[in-house]
Amino acid sequence: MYGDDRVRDTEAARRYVDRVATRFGAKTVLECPLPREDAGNEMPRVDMVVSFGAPANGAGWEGTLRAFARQADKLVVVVVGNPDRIGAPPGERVNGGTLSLAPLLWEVGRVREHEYLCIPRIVSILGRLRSDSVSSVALHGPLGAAVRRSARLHAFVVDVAPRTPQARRRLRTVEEAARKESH
Amino acid sequence: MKKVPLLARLAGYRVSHALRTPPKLPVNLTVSVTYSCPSRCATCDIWQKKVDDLSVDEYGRLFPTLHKVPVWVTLSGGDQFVRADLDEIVRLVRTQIEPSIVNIPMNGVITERIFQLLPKIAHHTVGSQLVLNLSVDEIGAAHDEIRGADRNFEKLLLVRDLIHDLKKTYPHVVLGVHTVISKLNVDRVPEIEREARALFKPDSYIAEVAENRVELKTMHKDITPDPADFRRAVAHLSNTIRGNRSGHPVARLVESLRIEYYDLAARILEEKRQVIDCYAGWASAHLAPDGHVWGCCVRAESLGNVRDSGYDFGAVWLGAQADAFRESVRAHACACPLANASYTNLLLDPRSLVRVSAHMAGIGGVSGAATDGA
Repeated sequence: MYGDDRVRDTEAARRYVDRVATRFGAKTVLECPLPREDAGNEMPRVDMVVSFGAPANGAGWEGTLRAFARQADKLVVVVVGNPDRIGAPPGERVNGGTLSLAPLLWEVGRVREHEYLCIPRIVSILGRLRSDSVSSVALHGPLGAAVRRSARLHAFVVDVAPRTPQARRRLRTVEEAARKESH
Repeated sequence: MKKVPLLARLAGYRVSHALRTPPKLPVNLTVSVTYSCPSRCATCDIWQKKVDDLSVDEYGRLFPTLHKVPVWVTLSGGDQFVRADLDEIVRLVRTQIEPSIVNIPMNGVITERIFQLLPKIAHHTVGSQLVLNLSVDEIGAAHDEIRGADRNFEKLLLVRDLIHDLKKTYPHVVLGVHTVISKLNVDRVPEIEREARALFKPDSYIAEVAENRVELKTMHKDITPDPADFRRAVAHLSNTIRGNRSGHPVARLVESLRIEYYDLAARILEEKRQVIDCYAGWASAHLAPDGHVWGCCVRAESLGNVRDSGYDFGAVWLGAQADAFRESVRAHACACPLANASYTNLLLDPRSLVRVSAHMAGIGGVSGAATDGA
């Protein structure tokens, strides 16, 4: 059991995933891991893979995410409990904070954005005095530290589309070959 | 050694320089990992050199002998990304040398390899500042022509996007833009700088003069701009810095050093002498891809090869050839505006430090030597 119900059931996490799906035009979504009732079924190709929760859920999570990410054509969205939060439960604490997730995320694709969710109202108000949004403020500075230390969740959007012109050309070649074969 | 503050360590080099005593290991180290390069720059023929590059295992034996002294490590080339094992070399630099700054100049040509390795490099360098300097010598097709690389500018923009994305998860990553000022672009420096800042949104912008260097096989090339033209170009750059001062003390110090460097480089071109003492061979060193240790890459004279010393950097650094090189530099037998060594030299020169402090305090207004159209 790798899924984290507490993260999944958070309204902010759900809203964030919906927002990302709309913005990037992701029509089909697969949740990592498969819900229990779908376990054992073959995984379909989808536009977007979503993972709620991360290392606290078990050592196999990295392999699971890699396998699921291969099914995504556009995006992988990972929403985790923010391990940098003061008072984070031991299960959510990871050495190096969310930074420790970065190598895996960058292996899966290209981290396009990250956003802190469930930020205390007072920090949000302080942030709005300076800018429109504090959820993705730079990690530097006192406001950044306040956000990092107080947000309950941290979300990442990973672009899994081919990264370079060469990779895109290679993919086109493979797809064309597959099309010819099917004819 | 690592615990000694930088300024105290620099004072040690001054003492060693003055008293002719054996110097400590260098605080500023450039490691060229290969001469191979896909670019055919008008200002560089380094790609013509073919040697047996040090392997990762060899670096693994060598780096511990630096005893974590270097604070600033530049990983240079050729094109470093020709090496598929570059991320491993960077990992060794971080774990075995533990510098405060790792600096990688990049041409952005081998895009796919860069996309593959740069995230790993960013991860390996957590704990240091990783400065990624994109080489931008012109804008658009004119850049491709100077750099002798098809669609290079287009690729640079892709790498720019990647670095900006990396900064989101790795706050220690710094994006720099670096322009080599040569006869080919000296008249367009204000436009190049302005457009590069707008397009790349770098954390820093730096420029260096194209010069005749043994390392680059450019001793025969007529690339160095006329001193007056260079003075006009760097006056523009200094004025831009003065007009947009940062409020952050560290950023302000770097800007102030840059203003001082630009003036120093212009003076060296004009006067053709060591305007301030050079500490190449004391505070700064260069490791060639095949294991030769140089005091600097302009002269590229071997002080010995680490392959012949059991990979002991210190044995070469304190050898007779190194002493002879230092004696010649001390006698002002050479003069150059090499940026890498010059920044260290500025930190070791009291009068320069006074001027840097004045720049930091905002004393000294905008120079009248340049206008935007210079």
